[in-house]
This record gives sequence, C-alpha cells and structure tokens, in this order.
Amino acid sequence: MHKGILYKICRIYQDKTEEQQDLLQEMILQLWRSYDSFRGESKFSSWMYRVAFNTAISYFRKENKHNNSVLETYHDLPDELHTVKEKEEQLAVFYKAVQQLSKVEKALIFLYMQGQSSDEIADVLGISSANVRVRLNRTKEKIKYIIKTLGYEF
Amino acid sequence: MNFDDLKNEWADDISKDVPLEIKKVPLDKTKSTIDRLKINMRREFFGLGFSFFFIFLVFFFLSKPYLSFLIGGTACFLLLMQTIYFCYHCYIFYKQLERYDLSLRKNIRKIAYDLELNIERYKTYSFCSMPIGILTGVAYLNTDRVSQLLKQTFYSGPAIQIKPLLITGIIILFAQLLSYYLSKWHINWQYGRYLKELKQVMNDLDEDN
Repeated sequence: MHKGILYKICRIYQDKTEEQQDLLQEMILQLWRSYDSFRGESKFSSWMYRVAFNTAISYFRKENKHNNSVLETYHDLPDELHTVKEKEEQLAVFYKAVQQLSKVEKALIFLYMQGQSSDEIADVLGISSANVRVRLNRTKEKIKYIIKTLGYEF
Repeated sequence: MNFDDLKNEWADDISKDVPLEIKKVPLDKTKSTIDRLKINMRREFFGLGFSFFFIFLVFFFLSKPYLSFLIGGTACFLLLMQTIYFCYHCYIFYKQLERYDLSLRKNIRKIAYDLELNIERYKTYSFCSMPIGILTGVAYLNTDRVSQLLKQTFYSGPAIQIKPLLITGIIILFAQLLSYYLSKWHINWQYGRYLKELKQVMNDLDEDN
C-alpha cells in the first residue's frame, strides 16, 4: 500500500516512467536512511509524507519550461488517453493537469486527494491551516481551468 | 468530471499493481539535489587534498633560494589555515544535510539558507586563498629573475624601488581579479543552480502566496 502511495507521488512529480522509477528509488532510499528519526510521535503516514515530499521536491532535473503558461501543450494529449476507459481517462487527464502545477501545489493536491485534513496538510508542509485552505481552493481552480482547456467538462 | 469523482477514482487506483520496479542504481547516479551537493562537496574536498599534497611535494623536493622558501612557506601556511577553517565549516554543513523528516517548509528553508551561507563562505575562501596560492607559485619558481624581483620588493634597503613594487602589485591585482571571476563562475556552476531551485520552492511556500 505504501509503495502505491509513493508511486502516486512519483506520477505527480515526474511524467516519464524512467524518471518516476528513479524518484521511487530515491524515496525508498531516503525513507530507509531516515527511519531512525521516526519516534512514533506523529502518524507513520505523516512522517512518510514528509520524507517523500522532501525527496520529491529536492529531486533535480532539467526543467522542461512547460510550467504555468504554455497552454497549447495541454491539447497535445497522447492518443492512448482517448482510447482508455472513461474513468481511467479522467484520472489520466487529472495527472496530466497536475503535471502543470508547481512543486508545492502538487504536494497540496496530492494530500487533498489522499483525504488528509487541512491540519494534517499544514503539518506536512509547515504552513498554517488557513493558508492551506486558501492555496487548496486556488489550486483546485487552476486544475479546473487546465482540464477545461484540455477540452473536458468540469 | 468533478473532484469527488476524481477522489473516488484516485482511491480505487491504489489497489492496482505498481508498475515500477526497484532497480539497483549506484549512489553517485542520484538526482536528488542534496545528494548531488554532497557528491560535489566530496569531490572538491579530494581536489583540495590533492592540491595540498602537490604543494607540499614541491615545497620539500625543490631546492629554492632562502627568500623564496621563506615567502613560499609563509604563504603555504596561511593557505593551509584558511583551508582547514573552510573545510571544518563545510563538514558541519555536509553532516546537517542528512535530515529529511522536517516539515517541507522547515527543511527547504534550512537547506537553502545553509547552502547560501556556505556558497558565500566558499566565495570568500576562494577570494582570499587564490592570490596567496599564486604568490606561493611565484615564490616556488626557482629562477634568478623571480628571486631578484622578490629581493627588490621585500629587501630593497633604505631606498624604495617603485618598479618591483609595481610588478608585484600588478600580479596580486591580476590574481585577485582572476580568482574573483573564476571562483564565481565555478561556484555558481557547482552549487548556484541548486540554490536557485530550492529558493523557488521556498518562495512558493511563503505564507503571502
């Protein structure tokens, strides 16, 4: 189950399978290295999210320069997306939209999708709960906008 | 499509087989910013060690006039003291890079500030040490012409001689300028891009955003 969660984080932060594999490897390595720091004072999942996001966010790759502005690329969905089942397609579109967010917005939306409360998200990110709520609303609006530009109703 | 639907699909997606496999990757192939920083720091440490080994080798095995030996030895000792101070602080920074369990904001802020401090320390070290290093090199050049120049600069008798002072001054000025631009380029290339990336995340996490 935890590997499934890590895999989702990798899918959010990297779009190529090879990069996802490298990131997963890196996360597992850092979790293993940091395990001594887990003292049971917080939930295991919170600790795991912290290590995983710290790894994902500090993971270096050359920027593709496609963040935020180049909306034309949203229309370049791979053909296979149009042939998979509707539900899977929706999720694939969602992943595609999330790829356009900043690193912090990706962490926010991931924790929201995992059903974490704003207090729990605040604990992982180190910002206030009020700020989490404001950012979350803004990020959701951004995702809606991106998905609409991809030609889907939201 | 709405967020509730997406959340349900997201939750269902967890049970699927994870297609990624764990593969054996050498640690120096890592793409983590922090690990790359550590690898760069280790390489530079070994580079410094090799440089000092080379300097001491020349120092003990080449015969020099007494004045060159005195100036070269003093400069070398100063260089060693600066290097030990710099390496000690680098080691502290290196050991602090181990933590991954802090909250995202604390972690990124800590690494970015420490990295910036270390970059500035590195620039200062390079700025101070490179001219001393070049002077050491000049003192080691065992030629009559250099010996003559050093003698005239440092032991000219009661009358001040302008020409040797001017030549020495130009060498120091050139070394200083060269060290400034070379070290700036090198440090930015080695560490600056990581700092830029970390600062971008730090700005994104700012409460004002």
